[in-house]
Amino acid sequence: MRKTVIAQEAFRNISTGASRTVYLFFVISFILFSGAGWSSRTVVDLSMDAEKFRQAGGSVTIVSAPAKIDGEQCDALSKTSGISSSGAIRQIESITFSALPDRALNQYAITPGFASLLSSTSLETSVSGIWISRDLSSDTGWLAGSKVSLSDGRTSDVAGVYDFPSDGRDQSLAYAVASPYSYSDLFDECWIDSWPISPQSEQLSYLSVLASPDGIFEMEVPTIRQLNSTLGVKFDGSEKFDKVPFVAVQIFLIAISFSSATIWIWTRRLEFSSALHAGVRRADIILQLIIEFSVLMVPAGLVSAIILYFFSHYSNPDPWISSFCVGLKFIFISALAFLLSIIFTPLFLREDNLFRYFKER
Amino acid sequence: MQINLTDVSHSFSGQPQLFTHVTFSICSGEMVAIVGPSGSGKSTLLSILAGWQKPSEGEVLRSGIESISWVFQNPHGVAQRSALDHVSLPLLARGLGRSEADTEARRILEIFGLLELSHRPFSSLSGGEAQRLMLSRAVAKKPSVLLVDEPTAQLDMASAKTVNAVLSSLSGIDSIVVVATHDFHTRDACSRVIDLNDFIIDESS
Ligand SMILES: Nc1ncnc2c1ncn2[C@@H]1O[C@H](COP(=O)(O)OP(=O)(O)OP(=O)(O)O)[C@@H](O)[C@H]1O
Ligand SMILES: [Mg+2]
Repeated sequence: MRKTVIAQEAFRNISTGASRTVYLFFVISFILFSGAGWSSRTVVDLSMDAEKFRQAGGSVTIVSAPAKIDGEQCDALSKTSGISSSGAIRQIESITFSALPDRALNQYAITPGFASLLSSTSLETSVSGIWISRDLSSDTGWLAGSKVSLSDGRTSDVAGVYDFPSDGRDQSLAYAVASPYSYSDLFDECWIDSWPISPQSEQLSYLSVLASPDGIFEMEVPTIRQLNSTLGVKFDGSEKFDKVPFVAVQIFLIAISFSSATIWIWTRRLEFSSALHAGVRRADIILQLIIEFSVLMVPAGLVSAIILYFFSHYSNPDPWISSFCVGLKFIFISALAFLLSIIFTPLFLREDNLFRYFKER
Repeated sequence: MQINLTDVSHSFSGQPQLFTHVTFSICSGEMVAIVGPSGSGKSTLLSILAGWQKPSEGEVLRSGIESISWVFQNPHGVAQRSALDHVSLPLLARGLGRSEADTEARRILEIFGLLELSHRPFSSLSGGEAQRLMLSRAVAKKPSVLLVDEPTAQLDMASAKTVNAVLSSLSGIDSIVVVATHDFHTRDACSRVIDLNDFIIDESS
């Protein structure tokens, strides 16, 4: 048959419904969409779990050695790859605000690095003043830029508000004030947010934050702990990713796509046997089926890709493109399996199927 | 063009002989009726002529046969496609363009009295119309051999009459035409009759 005629036949089949057009469109869309949707959401869920772990402070390791921490060294750790922020802290004299006269609040001296670890945005060096916890801020209404008076008559500026939710983490900073300090004195603890590498992996290097004016031998062994261990000791994204049965699901999708195409063709086998009998070449039937499939595949694929785009965005803490690409891969795999079946299944069509069929009825 | 059957016998495994020592030859331009009671093996003999079934014994020689068209007892088409599309298909398959094929298909439909139905979908045709349509599609293929299996078995008198009229008009075409039938009107339309009763013989005789 002429190629234009094959295309005409395909379009007539689609437009008259002889292609089982509705079945085909529904099946293609369903398969494409479920594979793409599942895979992309799985990736997003992993990102969300990772983000939750991180938000809860699971990725923060605390090296504790009272009055032995070099604040400058501790801040400098954040320049190491795999450590996103780090900073040192030391408890100092408590602070009493005139607005809350009965309550002496814990006050901590922190390094600039610690402020950025708390606020997860880098500290603007021009802003000076104290950092207050979210709980304190909501009780008093103080925000960044507020001027507050202390019970001893002095005043102070609020440089920022930090979140410190009670999500299972150490609560010492939950209702407290943190004041950026110079590096001159030694600190008690160095907090290290190591991400995305697991906090357990790099502990040895953390010991570089110890100041050792009197020689390392005199020092007590520092303790190392996790800020919040309620979500597990570590979050290994790649390990979790490896555990997702992507390959098994892909094989399943290939099987489903392949067999739905086979069913699609097989339910039309009399039509094709009859076409073979009318003299149509098998290769032309295959080409016609590929065209029929593509005419529906393109809109179904586009719709799936658009939905996938939104799926990849919805509450995804990471860039959307990575989960979008995983979903796209599933769309391609399904389409490929469909095409393979379209090429393969017609090889089993036989003219004398017609004869057998008519004898059997 | 010729088909020669020499001493052809057939039985399906574990079943009695259907027919034995069938010997005849058919040339192009001939229209032969195969008659016999139900179950005597008419359809089986057609499939042997087509080469789709190998006889248990005997020889089938085909010379100059390039293509075969069957018309089945139950016409089967694509429900949604038009009558015209059904007849155009074998012409398109031969490499004709759409408009040439449609012109030729309309000419054939006219011969079969179906021109007014050319745009109707297959599913809307009556049994007789569908049977005639499949006959015209088979003819459009210009086959060397046209095998027609019980074309009137499921039709009422009036529809059967139209089909028989069409079959009679086929006698001029340059093909071997073999019609399996119970219907004596159909038989009358043929130039020769092969009665399978003649080949159902005792092993002893
Ligand atoms: N593939 C097969 N395997 C076994 N038996 C078969 C097979 N095909 C046909 N038969 C049997 O062979 C006999 C002849 O079948 P056939 O269809 O040729 O008869 P027929 O003369 O065309 O009958 P009818 O007039 O009812 O169409 C029947 O008894 C049938 O059951
Ligand atoms: Mg029969």
